Amino acid sequence: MLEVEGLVKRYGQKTAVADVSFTVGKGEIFGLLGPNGAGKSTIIECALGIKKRDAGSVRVLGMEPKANRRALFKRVGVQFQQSAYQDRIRVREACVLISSLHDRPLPYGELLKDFGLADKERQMVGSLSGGERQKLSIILALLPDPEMVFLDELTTGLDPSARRDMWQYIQYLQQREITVFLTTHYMEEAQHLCDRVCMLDHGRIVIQDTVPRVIDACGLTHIVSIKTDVRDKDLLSDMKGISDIQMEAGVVHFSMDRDVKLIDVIRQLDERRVDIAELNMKSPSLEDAYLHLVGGEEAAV
Amino acid sequence: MKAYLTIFWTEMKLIFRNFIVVFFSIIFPAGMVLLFGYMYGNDPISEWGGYGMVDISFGAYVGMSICVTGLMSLPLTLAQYRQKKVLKQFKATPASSGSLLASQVVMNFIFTVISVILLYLVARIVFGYTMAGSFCLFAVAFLLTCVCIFSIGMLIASVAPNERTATVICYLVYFPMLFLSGATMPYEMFPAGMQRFVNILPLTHGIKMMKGVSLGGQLSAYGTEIAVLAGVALVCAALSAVFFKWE
Repeated sequence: MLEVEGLVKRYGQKTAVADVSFTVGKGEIFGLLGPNGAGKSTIIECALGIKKRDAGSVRVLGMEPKANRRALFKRVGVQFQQSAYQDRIRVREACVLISSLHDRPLPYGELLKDFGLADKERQMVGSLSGGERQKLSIILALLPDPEMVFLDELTTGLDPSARRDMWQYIQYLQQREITVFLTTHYMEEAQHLCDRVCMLDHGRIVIQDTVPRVIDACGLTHIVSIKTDVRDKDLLSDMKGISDIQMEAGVVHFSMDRDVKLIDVIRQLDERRVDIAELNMKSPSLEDAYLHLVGGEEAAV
Repeated sequence: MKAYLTIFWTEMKLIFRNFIVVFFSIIFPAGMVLLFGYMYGNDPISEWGGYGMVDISFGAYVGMSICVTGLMSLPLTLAQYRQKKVLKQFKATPASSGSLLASQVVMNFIFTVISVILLYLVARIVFGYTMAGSFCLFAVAFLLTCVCIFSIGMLIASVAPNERTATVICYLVYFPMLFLSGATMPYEMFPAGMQRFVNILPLTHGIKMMKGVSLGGQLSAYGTEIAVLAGVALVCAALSAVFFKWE
């Protein structure tokens, strides 16, 4: 659906995107991840031919986007970062306007109903909540009955429940067999939604793969926490397959190597007569992988 | 075609929701006619060649109306659409990228025509104004002034990096034009030195021509004015074509 090969984009002296290549297959939810300023939006804009690229090639639905702008946007829906609406425009007017630009638009009334905005038709877009406005921008992106949608930072600035709603709608797009290309800097979101992700830092690809394989590739350990009366660290220090033991008021945390089974750890604890009032195991998440690979927000600045 | 009409119609609805534009373009010029008309009446005054206050000022009020749409509404809306990424969002549709710009220009022009018709009706009904000159010639003079002022507006929209800068530039261009070009005070009342200065302003030429033609003059008598307006229009249009940015 989307092929990007060796994409380079410079702003003056600064290289915003350096030699980025990836492909997005049909029906996938593909996530472009990275800190603010990593080049996510630039890649979307170059991929759609909105911005000129300095090198590389792009194919969207088999088309060169710049040369086939009109044909392309009949089959692709786009929501850019930040809202793009005229002042004092009503929800219905925005829908009618975008519908008029397409030959066979989907009926906007049904989409408004599907997204729970049917009763907001006559409201000014400016008076919608952040979540409602983002829903509207998905609706507008869906009006052309697209084969693929590009969603740039759809959930940025939304509260957690509105964000969860958005996730449902994105999964609903996948059920409709629409390929989704999204950018986000929320790793939890990417882990929940994306089939494959591509992590960026400073305009370069750090890693790209399916979510489980990205997490695997970092070689991160599981973190086990147990509630116990044991106060003596040495009691545990000779246990096999664990490391990095930390103790704090009644709780012991340690890292468990990935090739070790939890049951073996519990058995070892039992042999040492360690009482376990509560046990928690946290598997490494995409966020852990991200922090491992890209570092915190400071690293990006 | 349907797309153009919908864009146009939507933008038209939006401009009528913009109080500032409606007020200054429709209500303000009509209000000026009423104010000065009641103060001075429209009785023939011999120093003014036997014309009344409303006769003499009609062209200037039309100029005022053109300035609100051409120097305020058009550039500010476009600057705002760029800043709010409306222009960019439009580029991501099958509509031709210029369709929104074109509809803004046409829509502001039609809005100007509406405001001029209202202005005329107020002058006519309240003060019995009749245009001494030919309607057709006046329409030509009006059109040429619109082209010139709108292209200045397009240039402002093209060079202003954001809405705030556009607002500042618009005010800097709009107010001197409004006060000095004869839209509020008759040009003839300015001292000679001042007249030379205000001759730099394109609107001065537009108003001079519209006023002359509305009082029965021929277009051929306004060669300089036509040349200035056309020249400014060409230069501004060319520059804005070069500098215009979609985002």
